[in-house]
Amino acid sequence: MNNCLVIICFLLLIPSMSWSADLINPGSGMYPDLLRDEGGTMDLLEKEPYILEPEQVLNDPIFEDDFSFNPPVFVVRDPLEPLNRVFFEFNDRIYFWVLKPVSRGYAAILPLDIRQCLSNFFTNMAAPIKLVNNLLQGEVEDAGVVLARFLINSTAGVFGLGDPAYRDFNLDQREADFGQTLGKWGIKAGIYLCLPGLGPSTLRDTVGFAGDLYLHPYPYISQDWAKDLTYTAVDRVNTISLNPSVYDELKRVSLDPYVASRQAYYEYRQSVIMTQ
Amino acid sequence: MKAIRIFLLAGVIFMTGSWSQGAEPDGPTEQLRPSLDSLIEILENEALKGDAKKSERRSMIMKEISNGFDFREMSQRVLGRTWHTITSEQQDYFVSQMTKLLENVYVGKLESYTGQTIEFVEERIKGNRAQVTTLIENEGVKLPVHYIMQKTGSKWMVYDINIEGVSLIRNYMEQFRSILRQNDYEGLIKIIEDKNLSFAQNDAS
Repeated sequence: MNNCLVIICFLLLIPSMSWSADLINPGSGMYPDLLRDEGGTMDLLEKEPYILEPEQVLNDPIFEDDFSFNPPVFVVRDPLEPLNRVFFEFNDRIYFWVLKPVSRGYAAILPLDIRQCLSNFFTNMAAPIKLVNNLLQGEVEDAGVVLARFLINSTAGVFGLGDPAYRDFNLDQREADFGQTLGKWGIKAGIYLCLPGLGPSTLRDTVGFAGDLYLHPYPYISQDWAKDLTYTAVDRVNTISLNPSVYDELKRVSLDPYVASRQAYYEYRQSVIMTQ
Repeated sequence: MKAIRIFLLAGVIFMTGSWSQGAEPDGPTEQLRPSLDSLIEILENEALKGDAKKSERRSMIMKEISNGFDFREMSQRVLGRTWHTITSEQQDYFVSQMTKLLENVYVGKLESYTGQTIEFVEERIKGNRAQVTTLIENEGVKLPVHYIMQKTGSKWMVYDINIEGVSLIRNYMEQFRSILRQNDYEGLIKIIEDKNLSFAQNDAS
């Protein structure tokens, strides 16, 4: 079952690699040409309202991308928007009907410090994902830090419940995932996907997520998909109980929460791939 | 989820505390710093705390923010090409609604200030634009926040805030663009007005 999923995802990924050439349809009129806006005035907006070159949009100077940290070398592609919006609504209901009330009850029962210990535990269990991906990205030093953190926290931190690696050794987390690895290898994000139960993703990151599942040790320990699901559910509820207002805030501040989360997801993932 | 969290952490963007390195005396960093300092002062002022002082506190915060933040520039950029298709009265009205929106969104967030520290780490200037990079430390996690500024006369004004690669203005721009695909400008203004009304109702209840 899992194997099929990964194979299907990889097959889906192949066309996305060739999409990079036709990122935008020139002259579609959807994106203003703001490129020559060198001086920061808005008059140039009027001169050429349509894009002539895709690169002009990619280097959209209105946002100073030429000297911001992370040039936006992506364009959001969302041909499945109607379907994605259905799943977004679905996730919204799941959140307000199930996850939020459950995590509230959960937070009422378990004190904050215990929930933080559990969070440390879940993070520590996922260390192999960060270790392998740092190595795949050639970040040998980061991989070393991940390994050291894992060894320290699993022993001195009592099965990862504490984080002495950060507290006593000042080793901070070095995040890495397979979607990011694929991005660093030059694979484009592909189309946007809002996955039911999981939220914002792209074709590339969905493949990355499926790949990372193979690196997580828990399924090898449990050998039971029902236990895997429980583990994942507790992890989710625990995370939400520690950051209770995140999704509510997104909805509060957005005029179109679907677009807001999609844009934030793309830009954040892009920055994660461009930096380090 | 992390991306969303970061987007929302925009609330802590205005906070300051520590100072790391010197910069040009009249440069963007030096102009941003007093604005942020004054904001913290207002937020930490015991006499202004509590729900009873809310409107007084908010008007002081907004006065301070409008010194360093260019809401008109933000509004233009958020609206993009549509800006030029509306009358100057509509433009003024749009700026006022956009200012209200950003006020509701972020001043509300600001009020949950709990003493995070800001470190100014870098300043880049190119022509009349600048990028001031700060690091906000929140629960052991360092969050890079970039203020994008533009010089008008001798004054540097912020027109975008970028948090770990996520641009505030671009985010709203994309939302507006999506709305404008199905609505005309009047429809968009109606949606913003409704959003602002919903904030007022939440505040009242």
